Amino acid sequence: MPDHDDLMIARITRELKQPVLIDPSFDTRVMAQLRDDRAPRMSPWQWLVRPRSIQLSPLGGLGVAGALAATILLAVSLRDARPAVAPPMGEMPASATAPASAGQVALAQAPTAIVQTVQFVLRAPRATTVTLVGDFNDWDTASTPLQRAAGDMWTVTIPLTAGRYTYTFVVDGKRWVADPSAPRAPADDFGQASSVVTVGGSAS
Amino acid sequence: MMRRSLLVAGAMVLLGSTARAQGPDGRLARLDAATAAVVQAIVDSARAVGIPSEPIIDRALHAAARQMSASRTLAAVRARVVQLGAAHAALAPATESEVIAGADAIGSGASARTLSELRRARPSTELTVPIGVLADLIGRGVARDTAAAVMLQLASMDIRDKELTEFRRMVDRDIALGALPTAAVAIRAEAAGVQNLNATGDPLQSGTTRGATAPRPIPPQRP
Repeated sequence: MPDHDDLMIARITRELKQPVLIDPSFDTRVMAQLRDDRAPRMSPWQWLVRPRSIQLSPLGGLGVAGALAATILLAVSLRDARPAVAPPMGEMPASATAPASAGQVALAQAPTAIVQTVQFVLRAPRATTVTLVGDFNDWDTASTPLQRAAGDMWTVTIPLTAGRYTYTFVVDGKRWVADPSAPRAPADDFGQASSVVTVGGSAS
Repeated sequence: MMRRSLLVAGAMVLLGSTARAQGPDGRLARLDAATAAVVQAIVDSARAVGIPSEPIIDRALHAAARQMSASRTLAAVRARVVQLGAAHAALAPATESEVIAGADAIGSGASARTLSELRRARPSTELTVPIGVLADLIGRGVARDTAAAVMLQLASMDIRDKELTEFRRMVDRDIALGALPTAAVAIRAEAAGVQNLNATGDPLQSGTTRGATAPRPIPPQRP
């Protein structure tokens, strides 16, 4: 019995030691199959446009929609905003002693480069009220009153962004007075003079 | 779900911005209803071609504050639109404040060509102050050509806004002291380094030089 087993083992061993004959094209076929099965390499564009399924709760969808709407509104508001021009410049410092100056405009540097505080001054000895009207306050005769200062002077200081503004003073609610110390506005078809102030401006 | 939400949000934003752009401006309620409707139509038309609407509304509000008649109000508004349109075309691309200053300059008598040349001289710089000074000088009585020539040269010299404003103040002071406006500008311009201004204020053509006999600017007349 042991001899039989030994013979069996020897036969199996001999059989296993025989070289295995494989079709020479086997490697080629296997590699070709592997290449075919591998996922195709995607370009970045293909990766971007490849459709995906995204699961989102209704609340999450609203949040995403809100963020998109806010972004668009921000872009629109930035587009409509006035250009930021810097830094401010000085113009026509007030000199109350100047004989020809019944009214003056003075600019002072504001904390930011965009907005400047502009002081408007009018000498009006007999006035009981003086208001300032112009492009900056929609020509509202009630919104920007001047305060009586020392002597016969009336004054108000308002913030203005860079630009060119037409304005005038209204004395006692009925008499329109152009600023005698400021440049005159071009004819406005209304037959009464106005003044202009140009608030700078660029760094150059 | 997400796609639908995005579509709804986009539609809401578009509708909102359209309504804001085309809705009536409440400030025009200060005008009578018929005039306000015409002004609103003018504003919408101007806005559609890129002309800033705020200065048009300003002009209408100015008329209302001065209690002008409807016909005078509309005439003033239309005149303003024409000036703004000319400035917008001459200065493009331009900021709103540049267009307003340009409209003022044109209203003072400056030419659209001068504005275009200023833009070419300073293509990437805010021009509100140079154009405003140009308008102010013409408004003070300086000959249009002289003011234009001086401002073009100052602009090409890259003069700062602050210095331009100071230049205008000096000219104002000289005029207040009795100088002829054009002469005051010519003298201050020479002091600032402007070259080749002849007696009329026109810059000489490039390549030419002022002859020894060429007249010099008239000095200011002191009282």
